Amino acid sequence: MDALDEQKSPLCVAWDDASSDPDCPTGSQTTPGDDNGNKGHTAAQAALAIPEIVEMILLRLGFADLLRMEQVCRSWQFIMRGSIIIRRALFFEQSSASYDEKPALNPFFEKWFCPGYYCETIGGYFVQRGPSGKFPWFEDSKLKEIVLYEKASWRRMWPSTVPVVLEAVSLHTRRQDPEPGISDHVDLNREHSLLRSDTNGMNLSGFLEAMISLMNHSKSPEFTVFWKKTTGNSGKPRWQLIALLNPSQLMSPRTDTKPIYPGISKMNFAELLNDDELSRFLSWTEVVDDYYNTHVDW
Amino acid sequence: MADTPAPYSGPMLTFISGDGVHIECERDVAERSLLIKNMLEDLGGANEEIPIPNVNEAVLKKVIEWCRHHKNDPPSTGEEDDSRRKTTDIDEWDQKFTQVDQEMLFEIILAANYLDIKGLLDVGCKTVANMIKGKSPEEIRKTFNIQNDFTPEEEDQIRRENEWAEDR
Repeated sequence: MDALDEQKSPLCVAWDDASSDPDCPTGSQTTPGDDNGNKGHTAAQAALAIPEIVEMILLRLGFADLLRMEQVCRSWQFIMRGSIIIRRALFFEQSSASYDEKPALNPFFEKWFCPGYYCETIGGYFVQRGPSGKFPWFEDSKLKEIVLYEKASWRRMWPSTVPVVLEAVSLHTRRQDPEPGISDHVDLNREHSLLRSDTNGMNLSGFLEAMISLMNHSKSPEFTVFWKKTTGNSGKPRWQLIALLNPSQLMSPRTDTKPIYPGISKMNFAELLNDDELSRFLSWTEVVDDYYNTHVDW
Repeated sequence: MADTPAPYSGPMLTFISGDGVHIECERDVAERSLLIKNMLEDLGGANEEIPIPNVNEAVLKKVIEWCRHHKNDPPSTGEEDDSRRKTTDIDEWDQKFTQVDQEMLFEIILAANYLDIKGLLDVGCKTVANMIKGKSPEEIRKTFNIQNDFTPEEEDQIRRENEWAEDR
């Protein structure tokens, strides 16, 4: 047979249809002998025994597909846990991403933290807005169990590819919150209280705990997080976060001591604040309390 | 051949496949393989016979076909950034090229890895990644004949840890 003809023969089907199409010439290219139970040395097995090749294949996958691959077999799990690039893609490691590179956010945010709510830039900030009520998954016992599973892998992950520091918290004291520009009404540089911050950043678990404790304190599930790209002391990029709480949407009188999200965060709100910020923030809260006690008919 | 541009008059060389077949190839096509390129630089002269013991005739012909089509591609520039690495878009010619049975696809990947042809390895890995997308671990094991060596308890544990990330 002419070599060029063979080369040009139409490769008519994808590999996974090959077995169902006996007329396809590619079907005969399978290495002889691997019909015998497929236990032999197939090229697939040879290739997938090379960690570098497995890594290269897995790195093409999106987050959810990639994470699921841990479950295929011990060798893939081993490769994934040993690969710094894969660990970065899964937010288990923070990278030394350059400042120009757009830092990626953990899909946890879009999926569970601010699902379906807009994330956009207002005045150099990246804005995440929580749901108008409680997290929908919190009200669904099955989802709640999945998200809050004590060994859930997100708890071991970082919020972003670069360090995230929850730097300050602010109360939104105005009743009206006209769309769309919250930032028009709050001076984020002035009206906030600094939090104790760990310069290495907080992991996703720490971040969620802090946010929940803030929400429990404000007695409102409404929040906005302003993400701001900054450069830390070391010159490395990081996210500086300001959480804006919105007690104007109080769902119950503040005398009701029941937390919004009971049982998620053991963090005490007071622990989060800098000592000298604490009294300022608490007096702020009292002003808001007074406002609602005099103006709102519970 | 539709893919072959102007007649080639440059130096040729001959590969000897693992199953002993002599295959002629233009030198500039063969140099898509960094292994071959470096070898030729060391050896100097033209019209060499180069044995490729790890790669059989059918696979070697496919590899040469790919190199011939891509011989004018710009050389790859070291590390790709994250965004490029994740894209699984494959150009039309490469898509047709990779429509082979699974065994051949992995033979090509192994050959590209051995011969150090980054672009081809890349296309092969993308193609495999596209097969994996959206599949369950069990489907992937079946597809690639991978043995599940987790205990049911271990597997369930990992599944639960990652369940939050699944689409539902």
